[in-house]
Amino acid sequence: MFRFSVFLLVALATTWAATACEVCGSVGSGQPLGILPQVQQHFVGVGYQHSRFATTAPSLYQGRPDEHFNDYYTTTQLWGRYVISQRWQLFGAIPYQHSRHTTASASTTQAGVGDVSAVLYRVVAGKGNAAYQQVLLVGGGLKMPTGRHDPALAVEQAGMPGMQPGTGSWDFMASANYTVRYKNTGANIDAAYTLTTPNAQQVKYGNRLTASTLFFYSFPIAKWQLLPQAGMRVEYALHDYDNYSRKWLNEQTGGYMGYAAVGIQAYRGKIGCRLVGQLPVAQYYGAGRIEAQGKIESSVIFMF
Amino acid sequence: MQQRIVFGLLMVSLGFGACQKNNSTVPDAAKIAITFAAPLPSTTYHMGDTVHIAATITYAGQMHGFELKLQDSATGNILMDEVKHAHSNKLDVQATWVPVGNVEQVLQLSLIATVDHQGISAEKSVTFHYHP
Repeated sequence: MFRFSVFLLVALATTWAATACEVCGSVGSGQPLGILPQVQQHFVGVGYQHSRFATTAPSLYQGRPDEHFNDYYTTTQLWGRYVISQRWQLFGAIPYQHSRHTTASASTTQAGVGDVSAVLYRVVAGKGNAAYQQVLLVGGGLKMPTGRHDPALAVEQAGMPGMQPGTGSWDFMASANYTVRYKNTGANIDAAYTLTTPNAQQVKYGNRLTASTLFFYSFPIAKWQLLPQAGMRVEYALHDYDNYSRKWLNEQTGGYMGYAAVGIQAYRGKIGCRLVGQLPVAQYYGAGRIEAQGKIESSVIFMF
Repeated sequence: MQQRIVFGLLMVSLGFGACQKNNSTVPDAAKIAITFAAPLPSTTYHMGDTVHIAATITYAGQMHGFELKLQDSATGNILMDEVKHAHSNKLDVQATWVPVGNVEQVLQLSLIATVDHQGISAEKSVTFHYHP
């Protein structure tokens, strides 16, 4: 029997386009959608994510000091959900990317609309009752090469394709999301896999897996419903290819990052908002040369 | 049941990532070809001239970058030193340098191309003169 609860909470995580470059820490990973109330409602919203990476790269040339640089990635995206039916939901996002690469003597900035993505989910509700409920979502989608990607740009020629807002590639995504709730407490387990393809320049970013476990507690204050939450998130990426047709594997890319996440979501009427901070607790990325410094994510949605 | 599905997806995904094909070309500095189009050897430049530097680097596989260095042969002073990361099997190097000062100099321009992160590289130099 297919049944929804008014307070059925579903956590969704979808990875958007992933960009990377050799030992420059230009890794932009996906922004989770958070815990959404009232599954049957459409919504539109604005999301924000900021992340920082520090890179130390030994020089390839004798007598030269190590190279140090920092990368800052900011994504602001317009996103939303369209409820097709009781069993099908469509999510979409249009990101605006801002990337900044800084060394001791120079700073390079790239900004523009990134790659648009869409994911279709099938909602499978498990058995439950008023106190105990569980739900499983399974979905697939794709990321389209709509973002600005210019192979003639200096950052592309310098081996930093991840600085550009777009990737120039079609990527495919699969995800599964499971949430269980008992009275006011709950947990969510999410996994998403991005299968990348090479772009016209044969640059292929590594396939990426993200997984997270999130625990939450729901309680009301005045007219607000608050959901403090905490958990862990892991991101794992394969190596990039500098040239996929020639199999030029870039072993200075890829790796894993593990984050501890703490945040809160709040809902009132048709408005929802979210703020989450993530700190790395374990990582090995870019052959150990790239260090994630942390992320902050926020979003505001309007349901209708 | 649902937990098994999620866990199974995780394991399948990790399995897909277990190995990646890699070009098996062994880095070989002897296969790096560096050609200077400018400056020509033994060219003499005067005050107010601009030294145009043009070179091409080719290799059988992927290169990782190059260093362009200009040095006073008599004093050892480094007058220009640029490092660029680039991933290709063919690199075009373009630069300019304007000589200054009233001292006659013999200058050595060196181009070092690197093919991997262990420092396998090749170097080629060209010498020219500055007469103020």
